[in-house]
Amino acid sequence: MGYAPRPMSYAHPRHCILPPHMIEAIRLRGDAGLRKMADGIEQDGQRFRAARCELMPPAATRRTQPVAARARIKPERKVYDAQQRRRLPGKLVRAEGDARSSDADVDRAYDGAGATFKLFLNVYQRHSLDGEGMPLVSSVHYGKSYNNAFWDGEQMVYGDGDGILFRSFTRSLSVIAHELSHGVVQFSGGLVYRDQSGALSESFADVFGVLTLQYRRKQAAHEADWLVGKGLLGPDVRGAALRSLKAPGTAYDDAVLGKDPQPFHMDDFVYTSSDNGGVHINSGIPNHAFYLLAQNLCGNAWERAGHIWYDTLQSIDNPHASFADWADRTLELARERFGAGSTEAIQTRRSWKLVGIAV
Amino acid sequence: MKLILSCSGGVVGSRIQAQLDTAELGAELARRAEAALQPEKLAQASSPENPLRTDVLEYDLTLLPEGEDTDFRHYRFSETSAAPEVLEVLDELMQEIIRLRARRR
Repeated sequence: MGYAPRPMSYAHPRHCILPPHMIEAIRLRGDAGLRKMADGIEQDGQRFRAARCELMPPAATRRTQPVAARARIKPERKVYDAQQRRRLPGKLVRAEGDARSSDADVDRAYDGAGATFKLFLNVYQRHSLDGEGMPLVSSVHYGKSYNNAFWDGEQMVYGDGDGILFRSFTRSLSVIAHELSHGVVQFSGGLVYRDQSGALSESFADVFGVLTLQYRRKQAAHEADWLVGKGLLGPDVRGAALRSLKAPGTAYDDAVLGKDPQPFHMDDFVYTSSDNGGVHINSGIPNHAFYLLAQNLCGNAWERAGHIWYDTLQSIDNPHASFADWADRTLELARERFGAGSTEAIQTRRSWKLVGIAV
Repeated sequence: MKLILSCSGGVVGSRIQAQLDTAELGAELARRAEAALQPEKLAQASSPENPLRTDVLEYDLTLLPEGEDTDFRHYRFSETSAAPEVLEVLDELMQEIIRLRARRR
């Protein structure tokens, strides 16, 4: 069987057997048809022969173009009420331009989506999550006493918390922005959600979660608390937040919830099969590197440090990137943007060295 | 029904695990748990995960042998691959675990 490669496509001009890492990349970056194909391969557990390796269709790997005129660009938000069921999206309760509702969770999800949209548009010239004005869809009141928030590939989902361990997950702008930032990762080429690349995805979401909060408050790096999920923990939980970029491993220490397991240095990197290889654990290392860079550069973290991290995501083009790959790219971009001997480049190298990654 | 339930991941990234006997949870919850946590429903939940979904909860469930049944049945799945009625029962079981532990705090 033969076929002609299409001009400007990502078609691979030969038949091939897909190795596992490639299947993962297809499932992450391919369109619905390709993902279904990859699922089929995984389910069968058989070698997949004579497959057309159209790995990365242009729509999935699109790098967004900066928005030239942003004055009139507005978000398109929709908030649904899942009515404490485990079904999405639920009933539409607030659309763009509607008046405030009588439900605080609905309004916080709406406002939080707007604040995140503003950061990405005003600072990084990105028009919504996909760079093309994608609607920002949220569902609140998901499940009964549901202790989580997540991004499902198309929308944000927030639980009310059980009131014991957690309060409503809409109470934290950094968590709302964290979930939306997973969407930015997805539409920037994606990072496989496992091991170090998964921890980079988590870290990017944490970094832009706290940057959204700092940008809204107009807080400089030294004025911020660098906490993700402050205000979410239940009244009797010993802790301040879900994570700390300033001091990973210190956010909570509770009899029921356990102790914050995040390391801040490669010496304490956690090897585990749970949590997709510790994506929420080892993200403490790049989180802390970002914190050190922002703190040492002074001023607003979303400016120089934020640009280096955002540009890295846009250009790394490696869904299996390791911490070292990411660190190398941040240094290259710091040199390109600010100069080889610039403070930014020197501090970028130093921040990685302080968390145990030599670049 | 006796089981070991573990819930991990999510945006928090923590893990909570406990052994439960649904007979100790009240008749209504026990009835719904036994109806929802059937091997065929749980086996369906172990389908391939959608890689675009992040911060989702992962469940590890072991049904312990009872009566004439001597097999352990073990299931591992994420919340995005399980049926809503299974998830709603798991939410209630997790709540029972958390309440019991919080009381002992």
